[in-house]
Amino acid sequence: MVAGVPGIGLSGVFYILCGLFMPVIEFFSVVFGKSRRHRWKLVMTQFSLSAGILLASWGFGLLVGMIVTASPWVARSFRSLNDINVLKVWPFFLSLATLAVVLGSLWLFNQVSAKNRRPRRAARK
Amino acid sequence: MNDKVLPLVSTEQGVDPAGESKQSPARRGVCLLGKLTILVPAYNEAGSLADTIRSLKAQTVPIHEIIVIDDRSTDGTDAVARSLGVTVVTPPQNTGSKAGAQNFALKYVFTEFALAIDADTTLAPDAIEKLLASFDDPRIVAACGFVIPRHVKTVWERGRYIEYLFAFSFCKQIQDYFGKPLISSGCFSMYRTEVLRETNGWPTRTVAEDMDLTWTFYSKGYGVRFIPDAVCYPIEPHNYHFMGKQLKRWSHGFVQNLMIHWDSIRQVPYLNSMAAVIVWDAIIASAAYMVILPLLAVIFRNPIFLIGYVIDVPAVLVPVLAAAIPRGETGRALASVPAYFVLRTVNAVFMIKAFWNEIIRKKTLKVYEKGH
Repeated sequence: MVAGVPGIGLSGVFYILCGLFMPVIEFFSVVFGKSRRHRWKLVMTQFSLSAGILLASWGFGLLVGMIVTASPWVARSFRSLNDINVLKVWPFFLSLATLAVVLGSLWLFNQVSAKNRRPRRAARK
Repeated sequence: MNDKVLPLVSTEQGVDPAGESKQSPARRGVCLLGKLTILVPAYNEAGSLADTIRSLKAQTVPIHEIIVIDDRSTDGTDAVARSLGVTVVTPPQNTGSKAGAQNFALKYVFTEFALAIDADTTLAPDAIEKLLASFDDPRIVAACGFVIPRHVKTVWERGRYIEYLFAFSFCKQIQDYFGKPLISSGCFSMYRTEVLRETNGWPTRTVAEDMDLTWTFYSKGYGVRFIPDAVCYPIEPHNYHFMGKQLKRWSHGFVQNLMIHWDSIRQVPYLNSMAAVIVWDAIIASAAYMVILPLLAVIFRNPIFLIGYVIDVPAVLVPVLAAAIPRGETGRALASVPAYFVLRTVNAVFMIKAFWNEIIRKKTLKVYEKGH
């Protein structure tokens, strides 16, 4: 999220993934001799926050589900609620797929633009 | 600290205070005392400027000069600045923007570093020292700090408080790890003066000069840092009227910067990914939030879809509490969380309007309006 830009949304998923991958990146940085050990504190803090967000979201989904199913009237209103946890796995994977499509499109766009640029440069020469 | 090296500059007639006859050795670059000059652009800031200057004078590192750029205020801002013994310069006429005022004063900066701070922003005593340390790396040309609203009372200030705690304790730290803080915040940032001059100062072509300048640095291959220990406290908009002005400027500024920089930043790794997901959130997520969720609930006659409005409460709470607890502000943070959901709904409306006006209607926002 950026101040002034709405919601957690896809950028939230993006930063959570970045946070989860930071220890891996840092590990390889150390292995390949890039001495960045002093950054482990930051890396582990952000990793913990990312993992904490996922865990808390799952717990919140469970809590809401328990509240909803505990009341027969509310449970009737939330007709599609079959299991206790309202947070399903498929929206998470849908978000990951959307992120992959957005970033993949960007990568593809950059490749096409780079290819188009090369012949133009050659023509100028 | 040494902010009284130069004589007070009188600029009542709007005369260039660094005119040939008046030029002091420091202004000619002969003598450099300290590494840093601070620029404080101010337009009708008599009520808040004194706190800003006092916090600058209380810094743990020496400051060569504090220059207040009085952008033709009508409330006695210049008198407040003079009474506190800092240099005051006044452009011949109102420059129309913060960037314009800062650019006017850039010619009076002869130190290695220049720091820009809003006239409604105070600093933690060691904030500048922490920022300066990041410039040990020669690739770094700009650095910014952690922003916390000074007053947290109204729903708008509370919403912004949560927004900042989340963004600065989670997202911006990750951005910094990957070497690409999205913006070096305009309210409190330090720059290498030489590079600032090379880029012709603060850009005036958009209404979000801080984002414009940061992205310009990236496209030229320079580095920017976010230093979480350097804390500043700006006054945030306290009501809808001023929040609306600020959000309008930020949302339009974001779209303007996308249009100007897209060709260059899409070649900058990580920054391009951030920009892409933000655009998605700004358009698609905003639309989903405003239209699709209620529509689904009505079409399927099932309120389960409305849980979408609050399903990310824990996602917000985790980084916010992680930042608030060490500050001893747990109660304030918990009490402010509902306000965040109000603010983000308003954010969504402004962002959609900005895209609509800037891209579809080609109606560019050009007037710079202050947020308080």
